[in-house]
Amino acid sequence: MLILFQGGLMVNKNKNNNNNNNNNGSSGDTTDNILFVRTSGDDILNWNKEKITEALNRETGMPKHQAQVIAIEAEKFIKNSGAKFISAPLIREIVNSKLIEHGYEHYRKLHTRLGMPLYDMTNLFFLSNKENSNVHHNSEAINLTLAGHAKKEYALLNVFSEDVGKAYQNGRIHLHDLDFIDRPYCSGQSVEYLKKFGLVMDGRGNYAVAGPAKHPEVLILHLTKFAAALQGHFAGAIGWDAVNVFMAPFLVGLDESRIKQLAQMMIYEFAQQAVSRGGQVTFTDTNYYWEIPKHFSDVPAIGPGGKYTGNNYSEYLGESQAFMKAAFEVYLKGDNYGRPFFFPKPDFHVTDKFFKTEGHEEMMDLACEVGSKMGNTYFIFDRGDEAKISECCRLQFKLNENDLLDAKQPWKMRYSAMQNVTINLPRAAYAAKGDDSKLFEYIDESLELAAQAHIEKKEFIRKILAQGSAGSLPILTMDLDGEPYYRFERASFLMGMLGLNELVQFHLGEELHESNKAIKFGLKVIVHMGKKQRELSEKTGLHFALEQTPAESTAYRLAHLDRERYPNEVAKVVKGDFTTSEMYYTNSTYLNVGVPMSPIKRVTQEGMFHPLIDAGALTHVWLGDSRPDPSALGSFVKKTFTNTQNTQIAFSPEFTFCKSCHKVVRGLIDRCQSCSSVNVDGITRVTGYLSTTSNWNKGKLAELRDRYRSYNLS
Amino acid sequence: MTSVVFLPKCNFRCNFCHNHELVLNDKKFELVDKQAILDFLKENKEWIDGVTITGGEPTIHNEALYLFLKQIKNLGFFIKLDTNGTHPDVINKFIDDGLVDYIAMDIKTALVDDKYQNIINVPISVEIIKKTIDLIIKSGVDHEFRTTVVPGYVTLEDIELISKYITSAKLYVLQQFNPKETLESGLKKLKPYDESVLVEMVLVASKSVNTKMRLR
Repeated sequence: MLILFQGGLMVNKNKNNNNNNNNNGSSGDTTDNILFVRTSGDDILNWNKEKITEALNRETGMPKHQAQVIAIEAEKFIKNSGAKFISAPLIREIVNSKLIEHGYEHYRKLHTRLGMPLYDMTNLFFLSNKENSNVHHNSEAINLTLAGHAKKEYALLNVFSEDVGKAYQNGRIHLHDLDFIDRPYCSGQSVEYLKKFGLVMDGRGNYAVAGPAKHPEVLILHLTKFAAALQGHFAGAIGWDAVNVFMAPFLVGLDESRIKQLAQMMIYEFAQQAVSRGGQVTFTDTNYYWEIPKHFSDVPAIGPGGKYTGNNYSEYLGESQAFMKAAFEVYLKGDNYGRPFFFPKPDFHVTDKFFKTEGHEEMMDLACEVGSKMGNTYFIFDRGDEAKISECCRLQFKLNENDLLDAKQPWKMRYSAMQNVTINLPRAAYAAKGDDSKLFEYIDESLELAAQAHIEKKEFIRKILAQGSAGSLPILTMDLDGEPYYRFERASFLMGMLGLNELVQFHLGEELHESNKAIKFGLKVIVHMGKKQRELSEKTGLHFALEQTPAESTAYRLAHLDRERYPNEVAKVVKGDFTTSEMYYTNSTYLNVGVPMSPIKRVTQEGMFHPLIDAGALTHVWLGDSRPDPSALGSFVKKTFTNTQNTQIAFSPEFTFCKSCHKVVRGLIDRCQSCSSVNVDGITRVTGYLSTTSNWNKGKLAELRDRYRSYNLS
Repeated sequence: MTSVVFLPKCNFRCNFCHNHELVLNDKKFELVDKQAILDFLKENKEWIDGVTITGGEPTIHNEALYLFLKQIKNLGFFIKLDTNGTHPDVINKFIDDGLVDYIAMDIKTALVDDKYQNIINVPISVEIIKKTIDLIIKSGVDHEFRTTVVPGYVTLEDIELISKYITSAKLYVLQQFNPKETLESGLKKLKPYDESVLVEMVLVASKSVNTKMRLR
């Protein structure tokens, strides 16, 4: 006996819903519910093959008379099958197989069902996802993965063209964050927006709306709440420019201990709000300046209640510095167990003006002490007149003339990269077989595919934003200052690279660190990519920019996909263990992470690539369990600023945290030194942020084993 | 920033030595040509302010080390020397000829033969150690004395005794013990003192001499 599943009844009731919008198949109700049938015998109860006809006609535009033929054949097949259990997805696939038999490829594509096998779903409940080590296993994380899975399939089927989809699936390019296809990638902005306009949490004003904050605590809460809300509108990081500078007008007259308390409140609020998508904490960056940056010094300051204070920001240097110092002291202490805070990341801008500002020696000492003890500090180098907002794993928005005009009204400073696409560089070398011109042609074609992917994503986001506040990105369409929060036409589009080292190794037979010839060739590849990227920008009108892909899971995924197609070639260059799955390509333009090398050589040689990579680059100095003297790090940082072109460095110590007795020790060990428990977890930097190593994927664990630690930095 | 040069071999056999491979098994390491070090220093002059000479025990290389220090000095680098204090004459000569700018000397434990020899496992008298301490303090060269606080070998009382002996020293540093690498493998299981004990030791020593804590 076959029984109509309840979902079918429920859906039928709503069938005349006026909101139905059939032009892209996205009616209010899903067809699968209508067809959901359960069987316990050989009769079909409440079965109506007309439902198949209707669905085919509605979803794919197939003429009814053709659809009827398919429905009759599908019904016959089901009746004859003797199946004890028939679900709607199965009926759909049976219909699809009939469509294939009849050669209706176009209709079959449109009739695709997105979803997940039972087995995978069970695994979701009982195994944790390791694509992103900031997502910890919990019920919300399962929702995130499940939704992400369907969105990813949707993106490949219905957002991107077939060429782009294929290039992604075979690993020629990597489209980042497909599971967030309906959001832009990341966003950098200013606290001034909240100070001036208050907090509209959902962008629509459906929930309580708060006016501009009058007290520093309230401002901090506006900041952290809005960051969490923004995280629901972006796939990646939420960055905040010059937080200490913009906090300063709220701190006038407060003593040191009160300011410390406020800094501590801000950091804990960011670090603990594990409520954004997937139950993870918001991926936040906070940018700090010891001086008042040139582009803000003559800007009128906004104070409590959204009112101008009558002073410019240059007059708040003392408060601004006090907040910065307090924040770094909080980082130095770590959380209640003495572990480093993972978020918000502190981005410390080192500029020419920094070295001319009084007290810079002590601030550098403190930032380096944090770097040495906890690893938090990112040292961002802004040389000459350069100004940047930093966020994500290394992303930087360089401010151009237009942006610096915005700086006069800092709430206008809202920058976004809409998407990130990575080019698989080793693949180009395998395909070129040693031929230079073939190599560059292949890279060009990959970049063209990336550009195409960007055009397609932009179009999809455009459609969502066109729905205005009724659409699914209401904060981005919110208009409080004469333009939508998301400045759509000013967004940039990232083109990343993976495995330059392996490209050069395969093409020339030498890794980047092995000879000047290899480095020069590596530079030639990146210069070429930059040239092509500018050409494509001009041609398409989209603002493309090169970025070092953080490649947390990409380094692993692309190596695996290449192994299927080019096993002999991959075996020659891949890092980690080729025979097991624990292998990876070297990230972006890095030198081999496992080669013993002085940190001087590393920051200098890796730094040669940085000026060619507009949208952000970073050199890691892995410290292992050593804890160098802060003054040695300070000297290293200063010399990196003056002697190299390197744009960003971070020092990464390693820790072991005992989950049994909550002690933290330096270094990665298997057993707690205090209580001998083996219930321990490692903590160190994965790509551009700190996280627990138990959440890392196999590729990154292999990299961790290989990392050369600069133990003797002194 | 300083560049660190590790020299092999030592006349001590401390149970908790963390560079024991250099002491017992120096063949394991690749030998770096002296000229290569000097070339590296020249090449990275913009980066490197000074050179730390450590070991092993550097002063046992007496004449050879003298020449090497001279060459480094000629390139214009600041030189820091680590020592266990068993060669006062060598150190005296280095100081006299202006070859060292900073000396960091280990004081293993209280300056009593039994206690000291229980750690260093060789029959060297503490008198010679004291002689080096005195001459460093008198020399006017920047310096620090340091003690790695290993439970069972160094107690609060030992720290008090040491600090009272070196009252006019410029700096005394108490270093946390790291059980990761030890000559006597049994010590790898030894639990380091809690940080609060170190703080107490610093407080006691500070009564006699300017003291700092170095966690690792």
